This record gives sequence, structure tokens and C-alpha cells, in this order.
Amino acid sequence: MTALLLGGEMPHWSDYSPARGVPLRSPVRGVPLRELAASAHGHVLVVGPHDAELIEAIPARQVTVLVRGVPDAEELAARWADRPGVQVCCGSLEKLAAVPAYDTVVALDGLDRTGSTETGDLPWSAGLAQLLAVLRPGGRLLLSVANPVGLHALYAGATPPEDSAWGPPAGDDPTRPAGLDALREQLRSAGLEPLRDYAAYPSPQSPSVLLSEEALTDSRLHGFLTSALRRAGLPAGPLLADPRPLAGGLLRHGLAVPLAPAWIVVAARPGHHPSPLPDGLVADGRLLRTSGGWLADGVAVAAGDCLHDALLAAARSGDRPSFRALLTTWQSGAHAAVPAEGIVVSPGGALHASPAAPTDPAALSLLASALHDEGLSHLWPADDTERLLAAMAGREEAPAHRATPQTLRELTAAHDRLAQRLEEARIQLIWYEQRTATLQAGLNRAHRIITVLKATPGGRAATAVLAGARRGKRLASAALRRLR
Amino acid sequence: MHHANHYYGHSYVLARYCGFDADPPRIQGYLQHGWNIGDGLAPDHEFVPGVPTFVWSERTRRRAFSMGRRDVHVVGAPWAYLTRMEPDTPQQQREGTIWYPFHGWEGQHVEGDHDRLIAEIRDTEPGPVTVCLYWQEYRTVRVRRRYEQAGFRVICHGYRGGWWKDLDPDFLSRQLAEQRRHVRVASNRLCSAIFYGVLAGCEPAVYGDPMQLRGEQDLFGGRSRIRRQWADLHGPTIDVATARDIAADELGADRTLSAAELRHLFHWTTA
Repeated sequence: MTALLLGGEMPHWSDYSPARGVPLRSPVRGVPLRELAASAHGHVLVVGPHDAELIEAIPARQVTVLVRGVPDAEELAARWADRPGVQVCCGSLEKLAAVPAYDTVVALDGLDRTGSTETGDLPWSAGLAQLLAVLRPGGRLLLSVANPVGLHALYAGATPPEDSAWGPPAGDDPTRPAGLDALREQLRSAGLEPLRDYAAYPSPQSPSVLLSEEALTDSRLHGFLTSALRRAGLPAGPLLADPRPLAGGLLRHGLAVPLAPAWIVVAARPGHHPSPLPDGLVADGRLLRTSGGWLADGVAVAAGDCLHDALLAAARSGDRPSFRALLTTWQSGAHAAVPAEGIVVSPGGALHASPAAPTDPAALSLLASALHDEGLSHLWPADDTERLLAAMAGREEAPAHRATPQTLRELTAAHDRLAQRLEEARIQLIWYEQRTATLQAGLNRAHRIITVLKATPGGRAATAVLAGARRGKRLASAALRRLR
Repeated sequence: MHHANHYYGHSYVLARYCGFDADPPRIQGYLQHGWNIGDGLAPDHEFVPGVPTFVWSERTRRRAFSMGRRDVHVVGAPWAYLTRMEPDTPQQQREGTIWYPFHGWEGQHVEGDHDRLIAEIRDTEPGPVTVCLYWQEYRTVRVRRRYEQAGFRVICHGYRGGWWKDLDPDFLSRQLAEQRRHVRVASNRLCSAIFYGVLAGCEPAVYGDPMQLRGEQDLFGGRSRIRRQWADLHGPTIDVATARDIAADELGADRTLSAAELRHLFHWTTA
């Protein structure tokens, strides 16, 4: 199979390979997206760079893939050379024939990488219209929209502009929906029924957690979702600050949807065949709301708080007995090796560890690091916090090397703490020097007194006796050596 | 800065536009000197980091950016400035076609059937034909004779200059005057001369054996991409309005700068 060139294709471009040492350029990927893609049916159109494994998760026989880079199209075409139902097209979205030929359109990378240098920048709404024009009656659209003011963007550090930035940034497009409500409304006014929507974390191109607005606003899930968002990982690239400590706050303040790095909507034309979609896709599996409550992979979701946050809250409040009690319960129980962010503590104090949370022998060290990196270092001794925590929990703990923070705010805080400790060490050094000088002066005075005393008749007699004793000792030693 | 900035007298045209009477000052950067489908510069162009590039069109700037080039500025083609500095006179009588057979550049050799091309030109062109050869072909008596014997007027716009030697400040002016004597401009490949001709008021045509250079490599999609992406500009008869829009786009005729802005970008201080 050879790739079909539609026009607007870029002969030199790849969205799949890191270019010039830039690791950020990669297709959209991730386990939850694969699960969503698996819901596609009929003749499926995949628009934009999607990971090959994600496309292979689509169960349909007929799949058409549209990418803009010629090398990408050729590579994908070669990969599926023996799959007659797969057609790879190359070009910009506007060159796609506006014929309603597809039962499912998968655009989980959004519309931002469907244009090319060769064609003008298609406004977002025109891109959506193009997708809808190829969707059959009853067809389904899986669409992602990156949030220009998502947490990943707000916390992004400085990076040189990517080669893909030949056009204006996505946020400048006035037709782009500003928020999930606006997105749903735009789809409704285009004649689609939004079936399910998700906030995607931690980044638009590699989400590991998808959660519906309904789930994110249900207070019963607070601890579970705090844990899930904390474990979602970090966006790629340099970060101004670690976004994970915000997880609980985002949920409490209703900001997890507005500040999500991306929103994904599954919408259908009237007459679609309903098929159930989960309320969330997280490390623990599919999150479902049932009449009996929330289930994660079939298991009832534990209510309560994320243990990590509960420990930090107790530490912040100065309630050392509560902190010690939580710590002891955790470290003396079966989940001692599960990091605290993977555990929910129920109001009764029982711990529920996520089955998906990997155990880590350094779980206690992770908490110790968090105590420093999440703004509590002033409450703890600077050295060996791990040992102190172990002692509080009644355990022996070998000191672990604390990892250097990778995010700017935490790194700056660590630097400031070290600078302060260095300054304190310098002051201590000066103090010890002054103390040594005082002692030296006292010693000199004592030596002078001894010299004066040695010059008196009593002193001379004492010196003579001592010298005689030393001489006698030397003679005795020499005689003994000869005898041997 | 770079000797290619002086090709075809480009730097002279822009210097004139900027108000310099004598030789142009050095352009602080690389100036695109021909239409292409890559980053605007020649494939063998050597880049020095931090030196800006001045390209003709926004599309070329986008493409260059995607190829990792930075500090790329759209200034428009010198031709676009020239056509404004030397406006057309309505009383000018136009006749026939100026035809540019695809040519190689210095050190390159074209392989193709000139006789077949001549036959196609004869079959297609309604009026007298002026064939404009590149200086290499013009000097090759065998090639030149063929076109002359076919009954065509054979001309050459001149030598484009190279390595700061034999520069020709009036190259483009001569080409513009010559094109304005013709109703049509044609070639067997879409090239700068066609876009120039459209801006000079000619009706364009691209047809005939496109020929090829010995060992020609199709960079950035090559000939097949040109035929697909600029399909509207191929054929013996082309919609003039469409051609004008595309030519204005590719030559950046809608992106020309003021003299003051150009002087600033080129680091040309006022004379």
C-alpha cells in the first residue's frame, strides 16, 4: 500500500519522530485513548497524528488515516501494507473530500496538527465543519481540544519555539471553544449530541487520566480522584512548578475541568447506536457510576481523602499526634510500600490502596521529599527527615538520597534552603573560630604562667627531678633491650 | 553578505527602491533569489547561524520555519518591487509568447527532447514566439540553432552574475521590458519566469516535456508535487485571475515593505 497524497502534504515533516533533539514531537498516545479508540465502529477516519498502537486498537475493518507529513504517511503505509482495510492519506484536513463516508471520526489529537505550511491556517470551527462533513448520519465523533490555559500550559517553562510553530498559537483562534461548555454547545449547534466528555490529564498529547465532569464534581470521589490526578504524572518539558500538589485543590474549587490540559468529547449524530462509555479512564481502570455508587474496574470506590494529602494537612496544622497516627497506621500495615498518594484513607481511618499503584521501597522517602517540596520544610529538621519519619512510625529506616526537584519552583525553594543552610554554616564557622581564638588566648596565658613558674627555685627543682626521672627511664629501657 | 544576493541584479533593484543610486550596500542576510518549494534558498546554500533570511512569501517563511530556520523575514521578491518602480505603459503593444525552456544552472545539464518541445510550442502558441534561453544554452550553438531554425526569435536575458563578478544591475529591468512585449509567458516547468510574467501582465502557460537535469533529485516532493500543488498553473491555457492571485502570493507582491522598513531589516543606513 502506498500513501494517498491529498494535497498540502509536507514532504520534509514528521509528527512522529523527535526532530533535532526535540523529544516533544510525538503522536497522541496513551492507554485511556486506546480504550476510547476501541469504541470506534464502521468505517473509521483517524485525523491527525495518532500512535500506531492506538490506531491498531480500533476494532473496525475499514480504517482511513490522515497525517500531514509524507515520511509519517509512508511509514504507516508500510506498517499496514498487509492490511487491506487500512488506507493512509497524506495532506491537510481541508483537502479531504467532504463526503459523508465515515461512521466514526477519531480526532484525539485535536485539530491543531491537521494543517500544513502549504495551506492556510484553517480556523478551528472550519476544521470541525470539515470533520462533520465526512461523518455519516448516526456517526460518532471522538474529538480532543487542547486547552491553551490548561494547567500544563500555565506551568510550562520556557522552551524555544518548536518547528511546528509556523502559524499563530491555538489560543489566538477566536472560533476555538473556550471551555468544555462552549465545546459541547458548539457540537450541539452543529447537530451533534455530546454523549460523554472528559477532562484529560496531565497533557493533551499523552493523557493518562480521563475523567468526566460528573465524576470530577462528585465530592464522594474526592480522595480517589485526588489520588488519580496526583498519579497522572507530569507533562513533558520543563515546568515552572509541580502541578501534582494542586490536585486536591482543583477538585475542591471546581477547577479540574476548566484547567484540564485537554477536553475530549464523544458526540454523535442523531440515530447513533448507543454504546456505554465509562465516566473515567484511570490507572485503576474504568470508572463507572452505578445505582450502588461508583465502581473502579468493578470495585467500589473508597470514600475519604488521599493519604498523601491527609498526612500533609496534618503536618501543616501542627497536629503531630494525628500525623503520627496516620503515619503509624500506614507504615505498620500491609500498604507500607505503597506510596501515600496511591492510598485513600476513609473517614474511619481504614486505608484503601489502589490496586494499580506500584509498590516502592522508598515510599517513606517520597513522603519526606514531599514534606520539603510541598512547602513544609520549615516544620521539619533539614537532615534525615526519612529517619525521623521512620522513628515516628517505630521503624528503622536507612537514609535515602533525596532526589533533586525537577521543577523550577521546587528547585528554587531547595536552592534557597541550601543557601540559608550555607549561610548558617558560615555563621557557625565564624562563631567556632572566635571560640577557638578565645581558647587559644587562654592557653597562651597558661603557657606564660608555666614559664614564669619554671624560673622559681621550686620550679627548677621540680624540673630537675622530672629530667632525672626521664633519664632513668631511658637508661632502664636501654638495659632491657640489651638483655633481650 | 552572500554572493547570491546579487544574482540577477536583485540587490540593485532593492537598493534602488531604498534610495541608493550607487552600488548596493551589503545585505545583512540571505536573500531568496528564485522561486522554489523548499526553504527559499538553494539546496547547497551554506548557512551561518544567526544570519537572517529574507524570503519572498509567507508560505516560504512557514515552510522554512518548519525546517528549523529562524530569523526568517518575508520581504517579497525584488521583481514585485521592480514592477512597481517601472509601471507598465498601457500603450505598449504586446504580441506573441515569450517561452522559457527549462534550463539547468551553472554546471548542470538538461536532458530532454528539444525537437519535441519545439513541435509542441508550434502546435500550441497562436502568435510569434520568442524563446528565451539561459546563458549556457544560448551559448551552445547546437541548442540555439534548433530554436532559431524553428522560426522562433531567440534571446537571452544575460548572465546572472556570480561570486561578485560580472554583476548585472539591469538584468531584471531587461527581462521585465521583454516580457511586457508579449501577450503570453510559457515554460515547460513552473518557475520564477512564469510568476514574473504573470506580474508583468502576461497570460501564463505551462506545458510540454518538462525535461530533467542529469542526476536531478526531486527535493521536497519535486516535480510531481509542483504539478499537484500548483495544478491551476499547468496547461496551455490558464485562468488569468487565478494565476495573478497565486503569483502575487508566491512573489509576496502583497507583502512588500516600505523602503524604511527594508533598510532597517537589511541594516542599510540611509545614504
